[in-house]
Amino acid sequence: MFIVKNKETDNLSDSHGAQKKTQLKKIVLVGNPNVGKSAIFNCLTGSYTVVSNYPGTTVEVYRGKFKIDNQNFEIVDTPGMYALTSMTEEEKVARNILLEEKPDIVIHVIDAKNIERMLSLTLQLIEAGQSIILVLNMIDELEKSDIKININALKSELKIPIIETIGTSGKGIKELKTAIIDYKIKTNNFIINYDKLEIALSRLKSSINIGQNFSTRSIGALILMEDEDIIDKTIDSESDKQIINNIITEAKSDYNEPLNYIITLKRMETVKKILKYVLEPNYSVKLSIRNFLSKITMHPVYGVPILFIILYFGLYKFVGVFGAGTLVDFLENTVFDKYINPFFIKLFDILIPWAFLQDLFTGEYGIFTLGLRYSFGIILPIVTVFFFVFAVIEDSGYLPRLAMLVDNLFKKIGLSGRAVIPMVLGLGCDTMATMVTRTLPTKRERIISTILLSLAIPCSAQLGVILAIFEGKNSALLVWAIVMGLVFLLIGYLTSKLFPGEKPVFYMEIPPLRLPKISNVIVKTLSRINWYLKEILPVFLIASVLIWLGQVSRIFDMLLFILKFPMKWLGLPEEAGKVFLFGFFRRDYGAAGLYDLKKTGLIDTTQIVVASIALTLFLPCVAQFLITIKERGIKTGIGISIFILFFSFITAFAVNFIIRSMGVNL
Amino acid sequence: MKCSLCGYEFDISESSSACSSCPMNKSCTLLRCPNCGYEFPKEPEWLEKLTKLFKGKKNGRINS
Ligand SMILES: Nc1nc2c(ncn2[C@@H]2O[C@H](COP(=O)(O)OP(=O)(O)OP(=O)(O)O)[C@@H](O)[C@H]2O)c(=O)[nH]1
Ligand SMILES: [Zn+2]
Repeated sequence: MFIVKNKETDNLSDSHGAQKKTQLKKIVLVGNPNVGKSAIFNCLTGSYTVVSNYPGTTVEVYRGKFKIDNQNFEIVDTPGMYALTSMTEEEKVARNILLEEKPDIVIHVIDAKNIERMLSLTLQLIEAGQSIILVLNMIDELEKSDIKININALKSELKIPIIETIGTSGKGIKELKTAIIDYKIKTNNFIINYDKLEIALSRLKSSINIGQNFSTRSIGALILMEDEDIIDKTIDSESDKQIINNIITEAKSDYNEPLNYIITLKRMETVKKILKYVLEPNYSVKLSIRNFLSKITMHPVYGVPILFIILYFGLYKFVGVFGAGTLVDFLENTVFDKYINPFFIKLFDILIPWAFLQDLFTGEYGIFTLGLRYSFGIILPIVTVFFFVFAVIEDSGYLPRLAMLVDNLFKKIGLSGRAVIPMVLGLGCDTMATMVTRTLPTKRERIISTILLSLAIPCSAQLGVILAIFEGKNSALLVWAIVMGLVFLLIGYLTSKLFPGEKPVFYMEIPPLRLPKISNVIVKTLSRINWYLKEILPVFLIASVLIWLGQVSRIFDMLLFILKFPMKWLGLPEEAGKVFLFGFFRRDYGAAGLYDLKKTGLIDTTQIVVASIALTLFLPCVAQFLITIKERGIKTGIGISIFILFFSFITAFAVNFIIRSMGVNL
Repeated sequence: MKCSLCGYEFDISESSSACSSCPMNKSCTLLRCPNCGYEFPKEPEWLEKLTKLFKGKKNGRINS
């Protein structure tokens, strides 16, 4: 192959005038990265190609010429792009080539087995009024996958020429050439319906200056997605800019989510609709183990025992027994109790002569004796093990399958499978998860999942400690788990009745299941630990200082005095009040306190169950409380918190009452 | 950057644009997938350097 490197735009693309005379038609190849654009490009051009940097960028663009039946064509291979809304420099270049070089034919190359992920760009190109040939490349790999594409159905949906190719062997290139020669421009192509946004789109029309290579509809959509580049390019006057700003603001007021998201979702829904008639299962492929596992993990019946197996080994055995049991035991009883604490106590005895100040560092609730010990001795080993398990699950591709699995159940409580993600993350840290609820598409889902997160989802540290506390007391653990499950379903059901709304729709692409890579798992685990330490350490240390201040000023004692009453109602010893007070700083802090309390042997198993239930349900910690207010607004936030405060005590009270009056011995 | 939930590949700059409406996006160290909204922590710099170091060493061994 002959390649010339050339910094300036070479004459191939510069000779617009000449092109018109000789009727040199221009073809542009577009598509996601790695779909085989270059392979197709090479098949078409063969010998003569030129590579140059796109003006003003470092992005390389390949250009070539070829002949079909004595007709000359110029062809451009663009950098990969995911959508017309361009973000990266490469995507900008690809879009600019489409906008400015006004190709006669656009060949959209997709990886056929990933058609679900890539067809949205086809729709966007059709919407933009481009003359498209859709190339389904990598047909060889499609044949090995578990889907089949009904080409005729797809053709009749999209009304564009569609060619199947194998870029590496040149299969289908002849047909592609015929399609290029025979290309007839049609106008009755597929249209995406944007519902309420249609009004904004038609209002935008008059402000967009004409003569663009993209249709006004497509430019309108890009403007609604607030694409700065496009706005600059297509809107001439300041007054028009004002007008479009008003249209955008008005359109936004109809939705809680950014328009960007709405439009993308509409396109994805349209793709799903089209593919419903186009995709067929490929029965000829023998079910590989991977496919089998992939199916069974999502199966509404068989998926459930698999989930329980994962929970049992991942959470109970590994996080609970190993992390919270063995590791914590070692760090707490050996490292901290034998070495670190005595060291600091001695050190501060020497350094600081005043007892009340010594307390700040090494007293009962001191920064070192409590804050540091809790965070490094109890919480860190637990979350580390949890994050590790989570990374393994994440890297294996199980999470999206879990989302599909619980989608049905979640629909009954007003949520969609999408809400699984914050829930599962909630096991890591509820504060982080509450922030993630922002990504849920409807307000209703956001409120329901915020409540469920604050109430029934323990964070991993809390969960780990609770599992450790219940070690060897399986019936007690069962009571706790059943109460949590019931609360989750009941509250979900009730809130979904209280905030009626549309049934959420849920689509998700399912990436392949795979064996987790150890390097990925390590990087993910360490990244999360890094993030977690940055979040907890300051809170734990500040909590220690606040408790110390509370002690010095007697406020702490006062609060403990008040808490004595609810503790008495719950049948708990006075000391448990401390645990709840800690729990308000962070859930994991409270759990660590419970662990301490259990070690003292002051409480029996029923009391542990009751305390764990109250503590799991109990108020979200300060951080989560603040985030809830920030995410949901002050009224909703405080409302949720007050509800939870009462609800947690009432439930724990009821459980205590039932266990005691039935005389069950756990 | 590849989303560990939906497999969507994206650029870090795209990730921050997905949270442009969030008031905390300056100090936030989470990355957010623009396709499905999944959030996960950014790989800390020290870790990135460490992995590079590892890879560099491996290459060295292969070359020698
Ligand atoms: N099995 C199979 N592999 C293919 C086919 N076409 C291309 N490939 C391979 O897919 C990989 C990516 O192909 P490229 O042609 O570089 O893809 P591209 O779209 O140009 O990628 P970017 O340059 O990153 O945008 C290469 O390893 C090709 O050999 C095909 O039809 N079947
Ligand atoms: Zn994603």
